[in-house]
Amino acid sequence: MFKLATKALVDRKVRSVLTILGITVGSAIILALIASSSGLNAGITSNIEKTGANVLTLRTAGGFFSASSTSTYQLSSQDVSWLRNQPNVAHVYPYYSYSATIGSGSTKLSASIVGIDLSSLSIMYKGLSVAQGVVPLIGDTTSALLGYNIANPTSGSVIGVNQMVPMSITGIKGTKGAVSYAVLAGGILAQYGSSLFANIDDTIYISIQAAQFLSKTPYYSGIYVIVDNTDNVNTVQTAITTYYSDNVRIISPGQILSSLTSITSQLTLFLGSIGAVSLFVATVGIVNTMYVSVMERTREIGILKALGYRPKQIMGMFLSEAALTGMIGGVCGLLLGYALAFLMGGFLGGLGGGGRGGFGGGGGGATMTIHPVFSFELIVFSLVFPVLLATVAGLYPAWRASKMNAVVALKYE
Amino acid sequence: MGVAARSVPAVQTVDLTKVYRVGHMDYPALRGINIKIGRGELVSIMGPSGSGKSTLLNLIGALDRPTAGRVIIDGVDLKKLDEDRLSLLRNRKLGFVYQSFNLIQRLTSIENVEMPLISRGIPEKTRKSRSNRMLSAVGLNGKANKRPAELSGGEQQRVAIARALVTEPALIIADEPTGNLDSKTTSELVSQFLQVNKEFGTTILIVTHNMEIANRTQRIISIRDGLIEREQYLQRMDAYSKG
Repeated sequence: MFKLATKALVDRKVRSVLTILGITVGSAIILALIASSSGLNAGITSNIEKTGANVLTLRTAGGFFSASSTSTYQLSSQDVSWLRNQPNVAHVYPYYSYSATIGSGSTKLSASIVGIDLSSLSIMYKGLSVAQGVVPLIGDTTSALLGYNIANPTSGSVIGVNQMVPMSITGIKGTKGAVSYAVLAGGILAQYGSSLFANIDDTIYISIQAAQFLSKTPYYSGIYVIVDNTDNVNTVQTAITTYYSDNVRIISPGQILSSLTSITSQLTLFLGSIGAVSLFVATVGIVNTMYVSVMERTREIGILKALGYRPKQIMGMFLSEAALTGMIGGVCGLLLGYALAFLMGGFLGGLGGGGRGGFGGGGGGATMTIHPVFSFELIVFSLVFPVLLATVAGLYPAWRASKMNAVVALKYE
Repeated sequence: MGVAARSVPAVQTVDLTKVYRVGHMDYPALRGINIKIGRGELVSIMGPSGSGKSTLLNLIGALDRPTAGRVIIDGVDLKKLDEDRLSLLRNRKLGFVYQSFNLIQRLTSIENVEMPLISRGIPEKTRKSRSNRMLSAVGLNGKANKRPAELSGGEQQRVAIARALVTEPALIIADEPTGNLDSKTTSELVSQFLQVNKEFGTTILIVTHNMEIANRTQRIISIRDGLIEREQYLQRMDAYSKG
């Protein structure tokens, strides 16, 4: 019976391939979508967990989140004092951030330079540790903490502890062009991976005094506020917003999460509807193909009836043809969807990373890699659903076939 | 052919009537046909176009239901059977041979012969060996893997006969089986039917326009305007000797 279905499909190669293609595309899109959005969610969740949901970032207005704002407010030590006096605030860390390049030519490396109280890092980034050397002491303006990728670049030479690291810094307020600078590698951080706020592995942390000296301004790039308890984040955020009005932007993990989620949910909705429409069209395609197939094989159905095939058997024959179409489509869809999910993951990751420059206290365009998640259930579903859909689509044509009048069918030309 | 075996006829029709309704008009195709065909008989049915031959064949073949009257195949009254049981009866007791062969073009000879056995759920090995035996019986050794398009008309009809025979049916119904064949092939094919009838003891009912074919059967039933016009018994030995 199954062999007959296979033969019937092979017999109408082009039509079968087109029908199968419809299912393949539809189920591939849906599969890729679910896999990459659950990958994205997993990525976001782990990033939030790494960074800590209790860290608020204050930035002066303007830039990514409020290009329209005309405020010229600057963050200074007065703001730090005020913030330190707010209830539920555990720590306040002002910081400076710039971009820099290290080396030249093919070994040129982009890095973020962050000037901050170096003792803050272990408080803000859970699990961050120093692999070699030590954390430079407060007041040490020549030593720095190097991110893992800075010390161990993919091309170029490895930087060891106590080695001088010359660099070219851009983005210092009030300074045009690049400034040459050098730090001593006091300590090298262990590999950490990306977090929502900063790409620690690509960052050079210098002391806040050194950064202040470098930028010749008392005004900070931003201030990290660490709230004592995750439950109080909203309270603190409200207090700060009330105090500053539109003069500063507050970035909270929750806000990043919700903006990322809204982007991804719109994308999911958009692609999901393409997938759904595609599957629907494919289903209609199966109904059509099967119907034509039944009509074309009217005589064959007559022969089968004369040979004593029961209505149920004839119905089963056409249904298995439909199911086979769905099965091939499903398997192809799984393969295509698998590839598509990785493509999509890269795309979504780029989207997240592109926005980061604005969110990030630490600056640099950190990218988040999205690993699509293919759960066992998802794979089973993507194999079973097309078969189910195709079988349902084949029901009516198959029923028509089984109900055909044998005498009429045998006379059909 | 023992008397006991003849006690249950292979085919019996009782006052068989079929009326086709087109719009508000009734067209009687059969108007009370009474036939009794014993087991192992080789009977031909003759009659002009529109006489009701095909209708009679469809009713005896369990492909259609009569307006009135009864069809009894091998002791089974078709009236009492539902669609499923009619299918089963066709599969187990009947074999069809058509003028246009009605082979499935995309299947090979042996696959065509296997078709009625697949429906019964017979395992592939048994199916193949039985089908091969039948193809040999109709002289188609070596043609098992050819498709209908690669065979001559006579060969295609032999495949159809093998397909009809493979289920060891009580009755083979042949509807103008030589209508599309030349006279030499026709003669060979009739001999084939005679041989099958003799060798397997299969009851055979042949509808034909061809008097030469009819003359080689044991009995000729002539139909006109939905009624039996004449029944003529021929010398059986005579029929065989012409093969």
